[in-house]
Amino acid sequence: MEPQLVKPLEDTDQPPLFWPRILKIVAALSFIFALVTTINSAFRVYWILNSPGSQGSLGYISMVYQYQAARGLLAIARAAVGTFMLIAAFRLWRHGLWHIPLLMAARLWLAIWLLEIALPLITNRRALEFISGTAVQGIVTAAFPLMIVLILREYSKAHP
Amino acid sequence: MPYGEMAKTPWPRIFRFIAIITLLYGAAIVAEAASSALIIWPLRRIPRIPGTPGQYWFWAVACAIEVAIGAMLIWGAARLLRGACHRLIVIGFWTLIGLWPLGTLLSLILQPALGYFNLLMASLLEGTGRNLFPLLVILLLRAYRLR
Repeated sequence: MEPQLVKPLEDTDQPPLFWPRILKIVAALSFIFALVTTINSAFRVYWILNSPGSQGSLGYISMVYQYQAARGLLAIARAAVGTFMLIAAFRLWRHGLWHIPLLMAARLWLAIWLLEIALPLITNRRALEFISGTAVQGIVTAAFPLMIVLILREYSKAHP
Repeated sequence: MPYGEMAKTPWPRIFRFIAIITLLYGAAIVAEAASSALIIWPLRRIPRIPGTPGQYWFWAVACAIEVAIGAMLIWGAARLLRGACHRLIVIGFWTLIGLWPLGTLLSLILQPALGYFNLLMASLLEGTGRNLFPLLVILLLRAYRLR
């Protein structure tokens, strides 16, 4: 019998426990993030629906209503993404499944975030100063979904 | 541990992501605190923002602490990008998370006019959103240490 080259077990540099542990952390925190996103968006929709009407010229009122309607739509979209993320994060945490839907939800969250930042530009072209302030504050919140996207993309590459 | 020694694990790339996003996060915190400081600094009081001297000092001290933490995070992230230890980032993020309940408590004491329920809900919802990234980084770095 010819000797076989056998690699010792301790030489394997890819311990299989890496990803499950990382995915558990990602799923648990994403669940909390999704919950907060959904509650926040629901509050925002409620606030927009109950905000008092504007006074002023017809053009101004129309612009304010358009802006509020766009914000309301984005808040509804964010609430929907939050709910979807909630389910995806729960399934990932419980069964280790649905990392792709969670990745998609995080990407959608980021897309809505970008639209919300850009929204004042559509209604007011001199809103650059406001946008820079919102963007700076937004980066702090967007850091989490961005990190989720990067980690899950890395996981998808490692487990095609 | 140098990046070369863990080339076959996902950690080098995860560390790089952590470092780059922490850099952005730290810069955003510094920018946010600096823009707030320009408005609330005692020498530049804006009449539209009513507040007692105690509140102004609370906001000013909070801004200074935020700038210090942001700078620590930027420095720690730059060190992590060069393959050095991630202790500064962990300290910075723990400080940030630790200051969250303290800030809420001080807000409740100094700004009761805003309403306890409103302040608590705002702090809970906004604070959770802001502190999830620090918590994620701390847990990931802990998972790396326990590997």
